[in-house]
This record gives sequence, structure tokens and C-alpha cells, in this order.
Amino acid sequence: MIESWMTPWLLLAVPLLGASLAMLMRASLQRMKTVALTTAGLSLVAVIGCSLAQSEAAAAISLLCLPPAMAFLTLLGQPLHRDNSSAWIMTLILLGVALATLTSHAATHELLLILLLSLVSGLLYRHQPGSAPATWRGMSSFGLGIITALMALTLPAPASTIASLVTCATLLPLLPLHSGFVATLSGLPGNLPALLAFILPTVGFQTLFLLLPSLSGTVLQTVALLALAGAVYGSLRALIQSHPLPRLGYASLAFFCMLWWYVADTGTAPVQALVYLSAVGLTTSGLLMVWYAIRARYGDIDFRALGGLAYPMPRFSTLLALLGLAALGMPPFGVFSGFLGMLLTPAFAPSGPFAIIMLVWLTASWYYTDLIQQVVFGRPRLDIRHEDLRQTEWISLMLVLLLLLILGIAPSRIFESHSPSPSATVAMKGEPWTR
Amino acid sequence: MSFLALVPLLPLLTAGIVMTGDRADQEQKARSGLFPIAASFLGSLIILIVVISDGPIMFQLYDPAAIANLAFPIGVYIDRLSAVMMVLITGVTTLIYRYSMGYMYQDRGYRRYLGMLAITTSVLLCMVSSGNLVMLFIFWQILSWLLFLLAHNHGHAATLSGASNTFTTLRLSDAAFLAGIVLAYSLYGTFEFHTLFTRAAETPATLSIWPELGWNMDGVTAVTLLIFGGAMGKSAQFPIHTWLPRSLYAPTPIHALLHAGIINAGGFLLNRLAPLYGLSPTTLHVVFVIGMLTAILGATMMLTQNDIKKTLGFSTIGQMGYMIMECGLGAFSLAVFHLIAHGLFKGTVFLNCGNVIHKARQEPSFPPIDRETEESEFSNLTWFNGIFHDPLAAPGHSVGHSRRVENSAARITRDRDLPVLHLGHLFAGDPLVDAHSRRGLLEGVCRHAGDSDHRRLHLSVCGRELYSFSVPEPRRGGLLFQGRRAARTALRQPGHGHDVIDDSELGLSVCPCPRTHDNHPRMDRSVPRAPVCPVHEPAVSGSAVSQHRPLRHADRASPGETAIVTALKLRMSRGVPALVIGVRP
Repeated sequence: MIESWMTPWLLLAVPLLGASLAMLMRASLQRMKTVALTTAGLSLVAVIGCSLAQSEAAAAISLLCLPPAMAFLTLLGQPLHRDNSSAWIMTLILLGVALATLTSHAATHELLLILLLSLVSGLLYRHQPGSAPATWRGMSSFGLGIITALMALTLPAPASTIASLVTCATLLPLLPLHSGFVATLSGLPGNLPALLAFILPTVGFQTLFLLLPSLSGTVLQTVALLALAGAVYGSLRALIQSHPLPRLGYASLAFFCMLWWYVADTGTAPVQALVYLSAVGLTTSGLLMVWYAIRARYGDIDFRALGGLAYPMPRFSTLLALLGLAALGMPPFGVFSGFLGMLLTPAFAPSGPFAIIMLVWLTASWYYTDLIQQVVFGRPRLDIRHEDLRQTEWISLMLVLLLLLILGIAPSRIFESHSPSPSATVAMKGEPWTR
Repeated sequence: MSFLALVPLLPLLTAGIVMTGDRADQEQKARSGLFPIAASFLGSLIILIVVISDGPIMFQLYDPAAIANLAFPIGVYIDRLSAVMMVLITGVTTLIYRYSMGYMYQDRGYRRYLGMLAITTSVLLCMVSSGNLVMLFIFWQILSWLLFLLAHNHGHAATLSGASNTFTTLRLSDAAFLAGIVLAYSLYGTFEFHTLFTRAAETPATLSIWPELGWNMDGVTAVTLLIFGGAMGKSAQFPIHTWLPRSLYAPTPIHALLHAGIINAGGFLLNRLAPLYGLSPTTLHVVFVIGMLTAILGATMMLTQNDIKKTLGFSTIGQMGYMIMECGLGAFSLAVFHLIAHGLFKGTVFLNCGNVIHKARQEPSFPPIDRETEESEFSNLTWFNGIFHDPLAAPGHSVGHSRRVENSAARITRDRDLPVLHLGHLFAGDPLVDAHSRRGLLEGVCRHAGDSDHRRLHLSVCGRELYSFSVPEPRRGGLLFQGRRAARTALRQPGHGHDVIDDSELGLSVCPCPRTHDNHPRMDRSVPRAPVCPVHEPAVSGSAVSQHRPLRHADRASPGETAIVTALKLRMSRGVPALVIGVRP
């Protein structure tokens, strides 16, 4: 029988050992990648084993299984290149820290959060392109997250809760602390953006899940306002981006802000919210993986410089179109079912801001459709030699789609954890339309 | 009889047959794919009979009390309305599928097109037989995406823009529909149609739109207005009707399905929720006004169009306006009748429209202005034409065509005061000549490849591209030429009914006119341009060819006509006998 305090350390140890082993294999990239993939698989097994061994898990087993699965999938599509090797090792380290954070409590949880934020900040600093202001803003945002996590460790209850909430807002992006998340998606190399697009919001949501019972109505109202502003801001910024990485960053900001708004408005975080979170994270990761395939072939280019890939790269185009569909909330994928499921819970009552949320939801149809339209059906470039997805890239993206499909069509009760869903002590309610 | 509920899945079988396997035997597969669609039509007829005699068919694969936990609540409810819609959809689709087998023949996207047609049919059937609002909405959204795909033509910028516009406009209405569903569930706690109607009638609810100002709204009115927003999109109601005219570049059979089946989705939705709409006179007034505006707008704009498909498109908008107006008057049964009648007649007209467009692109003076009788092959009911009459499908079916070519060319040359120096009997019925006519007496490389229009024919004379124009079907156009080498070989050989053309003529006819030149998506820019504009008429016959004036751009002559005149002019300007390009009717 595994004690609950042992779980985070066990889940941290497996990827760290794998990372150490992978570093020893640096001479052979093939072996290194194999070790990294095996470690991600073993982490998944360890997560399942720990969850089964414990009577009461800290987080839903599905939530815990998805980070190692995503680590595996993002690694699988990676080409064997020396430049990617450091990203593979960091993938394992970040996976271990994320799993440990998700399964830990109290001070350990805060310490691991600090470690995670420090690692991501370090990566941003290491890979900052020139003196990009966006990267510095991102590091500042994560720096604030580290400071507030430290404050949460030291300050008494009401202040520590607010401090933790700020830390949480840097991970699960919320205006105005979204810069770190957007910079992570735009500035990191290899598979790290795709991995962190899933891991950071998941850890943030787990933190929010733990904080929710102690949040007051005023705090929730403030969060709801920030979330509404963030959703609108993210949508508008996504609309005007011509580069896919910032577009995906701001689009996911908009979608995560919708989750923030829902949690703040209803004061609950039901299992449908978990489905929505996982689906948005998966689609963002999937789209980043798709775009990495483009970067590997043509470099870091504007998506308007490409076009008409439907015929020369049919597998790529099909998967991009399907992932785009999933991202903009089309059935039968998880984003749609998670969103609809959230709106159908008894805790939710349509109110005035719901109209804004629907507009934000609708806006996604423009920027994602524009992306698909240009890349898949746009004017073709005859001067470029095209190469469709390789087998590993194709399989990894197919599996992401499969996961999204499972999230979309499976009954949401299978994602529930053993512990009851928390709710705020004073659930913030907007002025409901119904009376 | 629950197995009958599987009828909506039969077209998926067609999609599976058509879209999988080797491309070589795609025609055989296309023929095989017709059977499941026809079977779904027969199944729909049986369902209609069963429903009329035994009442609605229904089953659920979920617990209605826990619907919020199930993302995809599968349930079937087929009453008379659904059964009638199923018969209409499957009947029209069967005809369109058969028609498309000939119409889209040899198109690069042939398999994808037929597969998408079958999938769209299945989605439509699932939508009309949905057992609850969520399932209906899910298929409603998938239909929006399928419309986006069906309206696509990769190489045509206007089509791409239209497809994108279609999707985003439909998403706007989808969002309104979603909001309506959420509000309905919030107010009445159910998605089941009958339970919803009962609870809405028994439980009055009021919404505070703006509490400070005391703005309130009846719950049913809010729900029905939002859902009507969804219906407005699919049924192209003012002011979100703009997607329909912009999507008209899609293959014509798709428009037959769109105007006969898909666009009726809005009307179907209103009729499905008729008891709910009956509870809200305010919504009915709004529906009536929107329908009336759309009817006036559609009918008025129809009168000003000079494009046959746009004329029909605005006609559909007007008819949909009438149908919605009838719903607004509470005449739901009349609206269903109108919906079915319009679907049948508009499907017929659109299939006929495909023939007319096809004909107009081949025949220089079509539609005729001085002919009193309609051509015999157009006098049949188009649907029967679509099913049984595929006149040019068989190879060698060219007897009599040379006469028409001759007549056409003679008429043109007479009108233009041009002597016909030689008429090539390109389609004389001789097997050898016919083979050459198919392979390339003139090089008109039909490049319906990835980056070019899939309906655009690039016509070249003597190895040089002259003109590109659209044809509905290359094979029927009779200008199916494959490869420059074959063309040159054929051109150098006498005895096939055309002039012998030597290499000295092979560099004369590249058009320097930017207007035509830029319209050639795959024009070989490396070829040096001669100062001869083949689609422009010299100001004075025989004078310097650089002094030319536009001949055919302004009045949009038939491309076939232009090509013939072009060839005549070209040859005349060189002082050699003219070559008439025969356009096979």
C-alpha cells in the first residue's frame, strides 16, 4: 500500500530517473528518444498504479493520466535532431514536477509550484529570442507567480489564499497575468510548448480546485470580471495575429478565461469543467504539434506565407482541419461537450455576461477557420517542396484526436474523482435572467 | 420496427464504399454506392407508411434525467414530419447522386464529392430524426461544417471566400441556437421535445433582461427567438442570407441538395418546435416580419441577377421567406407543404440549371434568342434526364455533332463576317477521329488538379494556351485533351479532318493581355509572349496585331464562341486557312 505522502515523490522520481538515463544516452539520439518515450509510458503506469493503490486520490485519475500521455505524444512526433535533445530531457523533468504538484498538498504543493514556475522561467530565459519584450513580460509574470507562491507559504489564511490565486492565474492564464503562458507557447523550442500548453493549465486548475472552497464572493466577482475581460481580450488579440503561435496562445487564453468565468460565476468546478479544461489543453497542444511539423519543414514562418496544403500534404491538412474543428468547439470533440456540459449543470444560470461568453465562443470560428482556410485551402506555393507527415507525427496527432473524441463522446461521470466536487463558500451568482 | 431507425446510417455505407479502396475502380464503386442511398429512400418510404399507420417511432439510448452528463445523447424520434422530410431528403439525394455520377465524372475530387454527398445526407437524416434538442443541435453544427466543405473549390479565390463566409455566418446562427438550448434547459430542465412543450405551457417563466430598467421577457419568447436565430442562418433569412449567394460556385448538384434539402433545416426546426412557438405570439410576429422581409428581398434581388445560379439562389431565399412567413402566421402545416414542394421543384430546376450551364459553355449561341422550340434533349423532365439520360457517357457517341459544330461555326463566322476557310470535322463519328478528338487535336489541357479550378478548362491552340473557361464536365464538353505531345502529334497528321499545322505556328498565340493572362492559374510564364492577343480583335483586319481592341471581354461571350473566333482570327492574321475549333455539344 502506498501512503499518500509518497505518491508525489514517486511520480517525481520516475521521470527524473528517466531524464538522468536519457542524459547518459546523449551519444545516440535514437536511444535517448526511446528512453524518453519509455519513461513517459512508465510515468503513466505509475500514475495509474498510485491511483489504484490509494483510496482517495488528490485529483481525478483522468486528469493525472493525461500529462504523461501528452508527454508521450509530444515526444513521439519529434524528429531525431540534436537541437531537440535538451527539450526531451526537460519534458521528463517538467512532467515529473507537474505530476508531483498535482498529487501533493499544502506546503509541498506550493514548493513544487515554485519549482515548476522557476523551471519554465529558466527555459524562457534560456531560449528568449533576442530581447523580445514578450519573453520578458512572460518571465515577469512567472516571477510574480513565484513570489506569490512564496507569500502563500508564509502569510496567514486570507492573504495566502489570494496569493495562491495569483499563482494559479499565471498557470491557468487569466488577464492580466497571461503573459507567461503566451510567451511559453511562442518562445520555447521543440515539443515544450505543446507539453506546457497542457501541463500549466492543468496544474493551475488543480490549484484552483483546491482553493475554491476558501474563496469569497468578492474575490469570485473580481475573478469573473477579469475572466470576461480576458476572454474578450484573448479573442480580439487572436483575431489580429498573423503568426500561428501567438494566435494559439491568445485563443487558448480566451478559452481558459471562459473556464475561469464559469468557475467564478457558479462557484463550482464540476467534472464537465475538467473535461473542458483537458479538451482545450489537448487541442492547443495538438495544434502546436501540427505547427511544429510545419516549423520542422519550413522554419518559423507566418501562416499566411503557406497555403493550399490540402493536396500536397493531405494527412497534415486533414489532421489540422480536424484539430481546428475541435478547437473551435465543433462536436463530437471534447471542447464542445465540455462547454455544453458546463452550461447544463444545475449550478449554472444564464445571465448577462453569458451573452459575452457566447460571442467569445463564436469568435473562435473566425480565427480558427481563417487559420485552416489559409493553410489547408489557401493559395498554393509552387516553389516549396512539400513533405507530408511522417509516421510518428501522424500517429501522435491521431492519438490526440482520439483523446479529444473520447472526451467528447464518453459520459462525463467516468472522469469524476472519488472526492466530491468543491464549491465556494459563498457562490458568486450573477444577476440571473430567470426568476 | 426500431431497426428502421438505422435508415439514416445507410448513406454512410455509400460513403464507405466510395471513399475507400483503389481509385482505379471508382466508377464501379460509385455505381455500387447508389444502392445504399436508394435503399435509404425505400426505407424512408416504409418509415412513412409505418408512421402513418402505427404512430411515431422512438427510442433512446440514454437516461433523460441524466442528459447533462452525456455528451452525445442518442435518441430517435420519427413522427410524420420527420418521415416526410426523410423521404424528401433521400429521394432528392438518390436523384442527385445518380446525376452526379455523370456530371462529376473524371473530376479529381469525384470520390470525395460523392462521399461527402452521402455523409451530408446521413447527417441530414440524423438531424430530422433526432430525439432531443441536443442531438438535433449536434447534427445541425456538423451540417454547417459539411456545407463549408461542399462549397469548396480549392483553386478559386471567390469560392474559398464564399465557403469561409458560409461557415462563419452559419456559426453565428449556431451560437444563437446553442444559447437557446441552454436557456431552454435552464428554464424547463429538459431537452425532450414533448416534455419541453408540456413544461413550457405549464410553467411560465420571465427573464430579467435589464433589471434596473425593468426590462423583462417571457421565457418562451426568449428561447424561441434564440432558436429562431439558428433557423435564420440555415434558411438564409434576412439579414444573414448573404452566405447563400456567395456559395454558388460549388458544383451545381450540390446546390440541388442545398436548395432542396439543407436549406429546409430552418423550416424543419420551426415546425419541430411548433408547439413551443405557438406559446409565444411575439416570436411569431418577429418570424412573420423577418420572413416577409426576406421574401421581398429575395424576390426583388432575383429580378436583378444575370447569373442563372444566383437567380435561383435568390429565388430560394424568397421562397424560404414565404415559408418562414407562413410559420409566423401559425400555418405550420402549410409551411411543411411549401417546404416539400419547394424542395422538389428547386431540386429539379437546379439539376436542369446544371445542364443549361453546361450547354451554354459549349454552344456559342446558347441560350438561343431566335429559336422557338427547345432542344429535344432539354425537354425531358430533368430528373429523368438525370437518371436515364446520360447522352454523352458512351464513347463514340458523336454522330450528328459535327453538324452542330458546323452550324455553330457557320453562324459565328457569318455574324462576324468571317470566311470559313476550312471546317475540321473533328467529331465525324469515325472511331479513329473520335479517339483523337478525345486525346487532343487541340490542346485543351483539362487541369482540374490541386491548385487550379476543378471546372476550368485551359484551351490552347498549337501548344499555346489561349483561353481558360469553365465547363461543368470535361467529358461532356468534348474537349478532353491530355498532354501537349498528343496534341502536337495529332496536329501534324493530316487526314483527321483538320488542317496540318507545322511547328512554325507553335509560338504565336500567347496572350499578352493581363486580363486574360492573369486568369490562367497555371500559365507557363516562362514561355515568351508573342505580340498577338488571341482574344482581341485587330482594329482593322490584317493590320498590325498590336492595334487591337477588346472583342469579347465586355459582353461576356460564350468562351466556346470566343475560342472559335480567336482561332479564326489567329489563322487569318497569319494568312493561312482558318482552323475552326469544334465544340462538341
